[in-house]
Amino acid sequence: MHRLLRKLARIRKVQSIDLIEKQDGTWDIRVLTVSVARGKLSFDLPRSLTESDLHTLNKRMPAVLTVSGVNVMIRQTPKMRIEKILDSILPGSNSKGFYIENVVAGGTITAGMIRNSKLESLLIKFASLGICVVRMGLGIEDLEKLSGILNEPAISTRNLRIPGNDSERQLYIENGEGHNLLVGEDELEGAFVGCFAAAVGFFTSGKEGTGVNHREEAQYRLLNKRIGLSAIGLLFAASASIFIIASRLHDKVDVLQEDELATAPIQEQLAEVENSIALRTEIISRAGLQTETHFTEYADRLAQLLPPGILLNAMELNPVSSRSKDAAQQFDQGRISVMGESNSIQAINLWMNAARQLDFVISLELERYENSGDDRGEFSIEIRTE
Amino acid sequence: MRSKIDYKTKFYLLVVACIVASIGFWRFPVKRTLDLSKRCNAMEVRLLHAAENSRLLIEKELELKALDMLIGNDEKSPDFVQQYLLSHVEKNLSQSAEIQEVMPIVSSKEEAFEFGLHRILVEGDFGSLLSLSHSLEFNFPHARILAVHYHTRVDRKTRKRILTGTFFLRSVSRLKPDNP
Repeated sequence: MHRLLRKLARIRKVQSIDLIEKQDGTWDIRVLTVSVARGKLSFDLPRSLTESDLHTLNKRMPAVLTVSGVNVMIRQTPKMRIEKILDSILPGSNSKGFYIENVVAGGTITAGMIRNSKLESLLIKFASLGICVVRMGLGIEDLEKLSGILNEPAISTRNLRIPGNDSERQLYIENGEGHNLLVGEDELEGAFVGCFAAAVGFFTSGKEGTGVNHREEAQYRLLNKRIGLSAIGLLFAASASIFIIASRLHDKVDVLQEDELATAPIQEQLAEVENSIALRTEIISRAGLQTETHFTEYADRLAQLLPPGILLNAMELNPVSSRSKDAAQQFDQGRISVMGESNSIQAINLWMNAARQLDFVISLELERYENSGDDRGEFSIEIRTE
Repeated sequence: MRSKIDYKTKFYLLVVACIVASIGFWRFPVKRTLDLSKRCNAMEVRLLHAAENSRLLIEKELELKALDMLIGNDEKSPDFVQQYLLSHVEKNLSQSAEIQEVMPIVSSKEEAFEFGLHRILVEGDFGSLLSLSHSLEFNFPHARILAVHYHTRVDRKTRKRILTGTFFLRSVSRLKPDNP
């Protein structure tokens, strides 16, 4: 999370402002927007302003200030202590009251000095304009640093090069301006090289220069802006998605509700039809409408087996079981009651044995046999069928 | 110059606002949309059930129609069935047999149905009675044969044994719905 915040708070675009104070006390101001993206530096909008145009500066973009001109004292001397150089220019002055930048090259030292009060007045001026200054300096170290980068190309500056040979490059560094600089495919006018060097110095080091402690403020500004914009963007995208999804769901629900209303009576109809079916099934069962009957077959096959000597008086297929007077009169289903006369019990036995062999007979019992004289006996037989 | 604490405070306020907005966003639009989605799914499931019920209803209605056909409509009232029965017996009875008695219909009404019990007494030889039994069993769709009782009696005058067959049939019909 902290890493993400740091990444979000990273400053990737600055306006590099070169403030050159002229002899008459007016300012010549050069402004260049420099950004770094995916390790590549690029510049945009180089423009020259006067002091009265300062309000046109972008108040939301962090600023890198470079001060030069009459108030900046630059000396190139053999290598010696800074205090001595300062003393040689302004005898008896205290180095604590100055902001000093120096570059040592070979046996010489190039030093630039400006009074802290001057820098502070400039900072107050920019703060009153609402511009966040993240770095401030004299540009001497930045130019030296740019030179170092050019000699040892790094990933972040691989698209940097100065046209011409090494001597020309040295000349450029000495003069600070004068030669155009190629940044990628774009050529930067020599007058803005100082601005560009200051911005590169800011991107490649964390040094803020003197009296400047606005980096954190600028970072928070950026963080607030990026998080705020991201949050608003996310909220908007999510709201739009939710709105689209919800409206589609509402449409779907409307359609489904209509369908549900249309299908609501089905359940009732189904229950009604099921009740009707149950009632009819019971009626059919009670009426025996679906019962398979074999009255003719059973009567015929039993009669065929009758041996001589047996006379049947009655054969009831499904005899009456309850003599109710209404239509619900019950019959004993699956029963055959046979009554008759025979002159010999053997004949009855013979018939019974033969009848037992019939496939539809489940059981067969001689219920009664009564000898009525004259060698004749009355009998009754009960047969159970499938 | 603005104080950096202001920016920090602003940042923390922004973070809090983002959290509150996220919670609010979750609790209201997102949750409601999710509820709507769940409702939608439940309705779809109910509609699927309804579609299944609709299919079932068609099947059940067909089953009901088949049962109604089996039972018969109001045109098959016991009186009509009795007439059909007499006509059928006359047609299918051989010359050696004759109808002795057509007993009155016993009918009862239950709910929307009318049950009728038809009894017919026929005299004749066994073959004729069997033939009649067969035709009533398989070729008379208006009523179901419930029982067949064969009996013999001795004619007082001729002293001959005479075979009688009593056929019991049951008819069912739907009553005509009362007109409102």
